[in-house]
Amino acid sequence: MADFFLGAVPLILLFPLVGAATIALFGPYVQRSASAFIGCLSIGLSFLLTVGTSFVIFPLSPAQQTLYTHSKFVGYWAHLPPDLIIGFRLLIDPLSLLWMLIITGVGLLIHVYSVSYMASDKNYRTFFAYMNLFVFTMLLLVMADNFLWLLVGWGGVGLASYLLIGFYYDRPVAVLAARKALIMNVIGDVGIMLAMFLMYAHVGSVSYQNVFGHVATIGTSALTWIGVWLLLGAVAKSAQLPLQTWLPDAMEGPTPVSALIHAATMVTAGVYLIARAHPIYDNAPAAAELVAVVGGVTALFAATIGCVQYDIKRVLAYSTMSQIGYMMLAVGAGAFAAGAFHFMTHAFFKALLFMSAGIVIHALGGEQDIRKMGGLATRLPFAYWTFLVGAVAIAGIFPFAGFFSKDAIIDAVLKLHHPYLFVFTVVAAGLTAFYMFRLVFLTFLTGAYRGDHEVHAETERTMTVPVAILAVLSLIGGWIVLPHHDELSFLLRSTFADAPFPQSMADFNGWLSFGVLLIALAGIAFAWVAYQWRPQIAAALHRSLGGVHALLTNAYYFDTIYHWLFEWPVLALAQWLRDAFEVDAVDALPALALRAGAYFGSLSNRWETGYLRRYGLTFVVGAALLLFIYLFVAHGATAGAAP
Amino acid sequence: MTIQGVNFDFGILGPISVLVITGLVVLLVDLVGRAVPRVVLYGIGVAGCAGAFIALAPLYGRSATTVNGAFATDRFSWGFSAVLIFTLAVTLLLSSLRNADDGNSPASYAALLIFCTIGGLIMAGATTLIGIFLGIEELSLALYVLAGTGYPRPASEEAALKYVLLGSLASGFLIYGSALLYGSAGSVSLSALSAAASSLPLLFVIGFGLLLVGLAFKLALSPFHLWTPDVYEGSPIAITAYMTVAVKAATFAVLARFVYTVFGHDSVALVPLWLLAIFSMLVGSFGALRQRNLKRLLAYSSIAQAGFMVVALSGVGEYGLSSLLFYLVAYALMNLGAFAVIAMLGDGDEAYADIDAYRALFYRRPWVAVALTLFLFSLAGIPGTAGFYGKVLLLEQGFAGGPWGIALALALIAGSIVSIYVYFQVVWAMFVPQEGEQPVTAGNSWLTWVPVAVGVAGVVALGVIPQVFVSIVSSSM
Amino acid sequence: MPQVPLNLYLELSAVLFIIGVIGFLLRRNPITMLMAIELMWNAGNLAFIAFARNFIDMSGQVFAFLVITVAAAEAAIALAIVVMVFRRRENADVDDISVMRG
Repeated sequence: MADFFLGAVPLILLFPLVGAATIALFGPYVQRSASAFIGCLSIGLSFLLTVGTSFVIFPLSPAQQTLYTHSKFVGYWAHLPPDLIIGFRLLIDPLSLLWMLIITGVGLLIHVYSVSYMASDKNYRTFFAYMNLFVFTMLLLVMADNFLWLLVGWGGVGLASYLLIGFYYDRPVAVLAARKALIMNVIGDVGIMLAMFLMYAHVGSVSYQNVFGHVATIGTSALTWIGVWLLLGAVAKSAQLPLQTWLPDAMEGPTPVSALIHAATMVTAGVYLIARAHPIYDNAPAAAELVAVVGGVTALFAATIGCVQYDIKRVLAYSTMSQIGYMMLAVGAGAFAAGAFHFMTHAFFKALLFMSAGIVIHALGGEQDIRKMGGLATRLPFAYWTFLVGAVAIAGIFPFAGFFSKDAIIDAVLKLHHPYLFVFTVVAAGLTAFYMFRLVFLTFLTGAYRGDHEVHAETERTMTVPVAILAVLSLIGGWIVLPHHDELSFLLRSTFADAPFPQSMADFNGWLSFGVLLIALAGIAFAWVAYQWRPQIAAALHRSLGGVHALLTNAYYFDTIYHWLFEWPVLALAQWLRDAFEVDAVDALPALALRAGAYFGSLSNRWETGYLRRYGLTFVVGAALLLFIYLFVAHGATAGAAP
Repeated sequence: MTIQGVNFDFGILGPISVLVITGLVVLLVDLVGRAVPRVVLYGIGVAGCAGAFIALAPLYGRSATTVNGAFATDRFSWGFSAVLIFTLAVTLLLSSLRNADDGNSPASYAALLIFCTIGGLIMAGATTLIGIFLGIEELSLALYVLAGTGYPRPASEEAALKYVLLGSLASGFLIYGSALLYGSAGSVSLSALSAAASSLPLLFVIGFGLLLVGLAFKLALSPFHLWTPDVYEGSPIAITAYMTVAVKAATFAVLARFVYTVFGHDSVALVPLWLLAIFSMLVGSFGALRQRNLKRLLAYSSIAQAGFMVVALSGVGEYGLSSLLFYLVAYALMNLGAFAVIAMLGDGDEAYADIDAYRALFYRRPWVAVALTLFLFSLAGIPGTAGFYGKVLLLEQGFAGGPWGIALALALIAGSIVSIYVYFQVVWAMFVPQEGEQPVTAGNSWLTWVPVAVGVAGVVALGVIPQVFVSIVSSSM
Repeated sequence: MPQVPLNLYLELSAVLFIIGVIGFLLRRNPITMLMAIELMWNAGNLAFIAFARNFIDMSGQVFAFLVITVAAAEAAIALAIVVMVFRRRENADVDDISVMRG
């Protein structure tokens, strides 16, 4: 049995690809439901195999837990340097397995959810093809055993994200958002490429084994630069400062996409990258510090913005940004297991929140503005209760999943002596509780329904079952780490064995946990006061803090700053170049070349008169010329050879 | 086996023997049976190709001679023979589409194609001037007839007449050149010629010049290319497809054998060949710019492609032969694929010879349009396709081949740039939507889907994982 | 018997070859053109046999026989094609056979 699952590892990667290709090629010839079935089936098979593989790998001893598939296509592309050998093989270790479990598991739930959520869309089949493509590229990203194939997956998820954000391609906003996400992500791709160039220059290889085996010989300065460039990639993919602006706009995509790609999996690729490259950061403290600072600042920054947004999905997007900030902070500080833990619990409750919100949006015919909701708890009880579970979990209330994972991070940050970042995390924890419950009150409670859409009650089994499963996971997902029983660190011990901070998350700091819990409860209480008990308090705050409110509503004016800093100068230059050169010079050259080419062509064609005797004459004259040249050349050669 | 002092190794002669028997069987079946359907006859032919391939397989990587050294299987013959047999099979499949009432005898048609291919196989293996002449004439005589089988189009007759008259003229040059080469070396075997090649006596220079004229005619190198557009346009589509690939494969086998065994690294004696190649690349690429008939366009393109392939030989380098063979395989896949699409859409007729017929094809027959786009991309050398990697290999040989090699490589680049415009005209026509287009109903024969599918798979495979094929090709040598 | 020197044979064959080429270029009747081509081929034959005699080597003569055989086949095919063209047009002037051009 063990051999079966280990042998079937490539199939985990292959199923979603085959699914995507099958739907893309044969989708138009089969029923809509068939393509949805193929989409779910391929992910389901991958999930089953991943679970099987986990049961094989996790019980092994640490030394045996890292496993490589047989290398395929270790060939050459003649023009690579001969010492740069890049094979294609897959890496299975506890870290990649954790990510694979979430990708395929949560991916499967979201696929099933999409079956009815997207049912009325005209591009139903396309949606499933894209989603399968996404799962394939994401799996490639985490299963790669070197940075090049990681980058292939990295670019692939960027592509899938681009396609899915712009899925409603008849909405200009969606197209612009997709373009923005792609551009931001490509900046990150360049960062990873630069890191790879540095690795090749110093180690002569880009495979994990070789690079991590030689970190001691690379030198701190180069190692720091590698770390910084990798961080640029992580920052772009995980929507951290300063490349965060694409994520809120990405909410233009369908809600299942937001749940899978822009909450649970793809945006955490940056965390995976840093965790995977931890030998580099262990030996480059400055780069690791930078990661921690970026994460901590983003956690607080995004949380503040989340407090004032009115679009339900945008609030969740800022919350995602903030929670990934926590993860980045953890891996930057060296608490890799805690970062991975928060990734796991976050995948559960954030996917849950998005999918519950999706039920609401679905029921309201696409309405996303929470000012036009309210009082939905009685009309959509299922969505209300599941959303509430998610909100409680993300707020970090005992005994829900978020409590354990967030606590592990805050605890680690304190232990690792980052006092400012510790304050950030604590404040952000309070803010998180506040904005999540602001969302709960404004959407489901607070008076009567304020919108003008009719509310369609939800009944679809395919939508409710996955949400219910995630609700349960959001409750129990954290219990994998209980006092004196740190299962997760144990599972991940082989990957992070050489990390300098052997944190055991079972080591609960009771007072700290209690304090953070109190702060979270205070946030919830404040939300209750301001939005449920005395709504005039919120209005008064809104009036008196108008400047701050505007700053937060516009997300600290990052988009405006980027517009004037980057977009405007480039566009202005382009316009000037167009006016000054394009029409007269640049356009004219190809036209001239084409005319010249056509002239040569017509010479050649006009000689082709159709008259046989012309052909014969050309033949004979050509032969005579050839002989003449040949005699000339050969005579020159023999004359030159003679003394 | 030895007969009257001549030894025959039927292992080495295996592919030829199988094809001879196949050709005779086709004729016999037609003679015995009454109105045998063409599918059966062509099916026998395709089965014969499979048999020839099986006979060819054990010769992979071998180097041996037979018929007292006059016929060889070695690095010059194996790959080219494989391409020839593949081309024959594809051509037979494409021919199955042709209208049944065209008045031709399908049996003699198939037999002629098979004998034609045997001529090519003889060329690939011949190590003497006699064998080369025999192969070329067998190939050519059959093709003269086949070019004229496009009844009732007058263009086909015209093609046959132009081809036979100019081809015989070229053969005259070839024979006279062979005679002078024989006179310069005292023997008809190529190995004896290399002695004369090192001192370049007058007889040798004139003799090789005349022989080169004859070979250049077969390869359609400019300025001996004038027959090409007319003959390619006039011939039936399947025959045109066959001519573009098979004649090139066989003639390049001869040329490569000459270059490597007679001349070695001495490049001065080959300067005329380089000049012809440069001229061909430019004339072919530019000449295709204004063509509106796809067969004619591909004819000009094949002139340029022949020039491209010469670049592989420019340095007479270690990997020149494998580069040439890789490009030839890529060319066979993409060119036969493109012709298969033309034939399929027109059900074997000329309906889809004109570029205008391809307007908005993507919206009428998406898969066919995508396949043709892939073939045209490959011909243009777009990355990710076989043609791209083939050109990379050619350029590598060119830039390693001294000043003439660099000149050839630059001409290759120039020709490729021009040809991108040429091929994209067609792609453009296929993808620009147009109002009121009717769906294409013809072209559903699965028999022609086979070469298209093989072509697509091959072009993608050679483009994406070329190293696998490079190693297969290299170790056949 | 005094032997005819090799050079004379070669010169004769060259003259024949050039006459053949000129004949091909000047004639418009395909049959006459074919005759001119035969002249070229036989110029090659003459050269082959002269060399074979000079080297006392059989292969040149074999080549010449082969050329004669092929020439017969080639003439048959070419004439058949000419007849095919003639049947449609009642005329076999090569200058009139120029549908395709460019």
